[in-house]
Amino acid sequence: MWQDSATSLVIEEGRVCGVKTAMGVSFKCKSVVLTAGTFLNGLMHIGRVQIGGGRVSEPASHGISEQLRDLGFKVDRMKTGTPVRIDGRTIDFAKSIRQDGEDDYHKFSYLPSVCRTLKQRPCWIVYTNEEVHDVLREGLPESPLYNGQIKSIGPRYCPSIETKIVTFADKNQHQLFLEPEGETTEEYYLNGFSSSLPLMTQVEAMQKIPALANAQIYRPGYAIEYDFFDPTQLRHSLETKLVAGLFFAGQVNGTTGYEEAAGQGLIAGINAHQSAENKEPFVLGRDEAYIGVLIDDLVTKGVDEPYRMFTSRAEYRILLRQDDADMRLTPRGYSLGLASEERYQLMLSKRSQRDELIAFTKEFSVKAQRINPWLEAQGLQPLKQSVKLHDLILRPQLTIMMLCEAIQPLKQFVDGLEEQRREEIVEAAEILIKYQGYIDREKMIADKISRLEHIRLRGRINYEEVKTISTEARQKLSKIDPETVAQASRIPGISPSDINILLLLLGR
Amino acid sequence: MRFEYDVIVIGAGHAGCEAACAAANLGSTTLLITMDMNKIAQMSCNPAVGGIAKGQIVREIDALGGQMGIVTDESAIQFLASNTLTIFLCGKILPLRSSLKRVGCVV
Repeated sequence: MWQDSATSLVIEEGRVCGVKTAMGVSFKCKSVVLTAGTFLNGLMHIGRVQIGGGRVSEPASHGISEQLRDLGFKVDRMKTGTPVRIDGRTIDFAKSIRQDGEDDYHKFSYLPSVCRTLKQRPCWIVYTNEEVHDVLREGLPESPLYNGQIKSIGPRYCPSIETKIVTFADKNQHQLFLEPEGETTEEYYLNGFSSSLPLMTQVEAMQKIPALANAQIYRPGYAIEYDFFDPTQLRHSLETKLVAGLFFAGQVNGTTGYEEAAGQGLIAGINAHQSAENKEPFVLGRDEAYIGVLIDDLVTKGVDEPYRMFTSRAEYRILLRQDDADMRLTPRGYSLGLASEERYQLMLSKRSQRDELIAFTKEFSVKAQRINPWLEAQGLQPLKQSVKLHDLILRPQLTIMMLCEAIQPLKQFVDGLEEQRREEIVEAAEILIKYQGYIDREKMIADKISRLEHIRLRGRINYEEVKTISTEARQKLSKIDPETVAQASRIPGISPSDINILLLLLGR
Repeated sequence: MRFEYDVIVIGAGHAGCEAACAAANLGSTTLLITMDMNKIAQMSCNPAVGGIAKGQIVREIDALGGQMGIVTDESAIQFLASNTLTIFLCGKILPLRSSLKRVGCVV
């Protein structure tokens, strides 16, 4: 690690080969990943107060945007914001609604050795009211978002509180969450109250909420404007088309969110390594991962507001489930050398235990007269004749864990699964049993589309010479320069008839 | 003191940390440049990780061999799995401030 501010890139013959810093140090390298977040020419706003910086109390970074703009990169501005942080000792929790977490086996890591060990803390729910809105409304003339001080576009799905009272003027309250910032700290984050109104407006509005009537804040909310690069300037590897070996990830590509940033960072880091070693780029498909959808959307469609991931952005969301990301991706991470041997073996053993459980349910017959008393006791339709256990699990009201109560051999089988991951394995098996029809159908559609994904387009057609497609299609195909016919079909403004013409030109 | 690397990552937020870890774990000599080593993987805004579609991204990062899932689990102070009917994990996690140190160690 090196603590310093990067101020320029060293580029020779179209390839990045080093980084220079504010302290005058010059580092050499084979590839660079730029993940500057909100720091490139960052400018914070609190009412009419404007402070240059990348985050509260931190200086902005200058030089790299200017250099890249001179090289021909399209640079634009976006905006985001954050709410007040409150001293928990001044919150009246009795006037708020406690929200505890859940004691649930789900977690983020597939590694059984990783678990939650810290003391769990509640969040607290409070609501704004008409009095809060009145104070905010009075402050609007001083709002950088409404007086023209901020022109760039912010994240649609986390609007500031002043945006909410303007956009949803008929609502007389908005829900807010008080979220603790750590296991032991008194600092609370007021989720839903993001603002760039003047400090005193934020404080007065907040204090109209009964639980926060006497609240002391550590710092006000603020908005921040920053530079981002039009992501259609990137390849799917996140390498820039203009400079070889230079990769972008995170907010500099116009996205919002830690997870979106981390997902891009991972792919950019992998490909920076691949590029340094002269190896093939690593790309995830839209039917393989949300990360694949995210990056394909960015490089194909570009962004006109901060991009947040949603399940609705994925056309194959039944294939992109949380329960089987390991089945989908660990083999790919393993063959790269990033996912460890341990992780790969864990995935294999989970898969075989899952498949054995499914095979057991397909073989095991449930006798009607033996299960019916239990089914009736649950208020469920009895069986008319004996069926395979698999068919019983298809019933929406029944789960494998419930059936363990009634069917001793099933319980024995489930008890024989690896203890630490038993619920996870049962969940994975149950999803495959219950949703198999939907999963198969989606796989079929994905396979059909993937024919187009395999027809390479880049470098094979000079779009300017194709007079049979629309002018819009010519311009957009030249600009995006899609890798494949499938990617071309996802560019906004490219019609199915344009695609047919491309296929004809390719001799298909 | 080394001044020549395979990969240089500029910025140590959530994108930069994953990028630096991935490149280094794949075998590249890697330099992570940050303006403040006390703000590594800082949660500048909401102290939460996950949510609709975002939770799946974290699972995918973990499945590929990335860091975010591990660090989030180990620093979580609340967990909610809404819509446990299986298809989506909507975990909401409030990691600890000191998780900065953790990510620092991992990096």
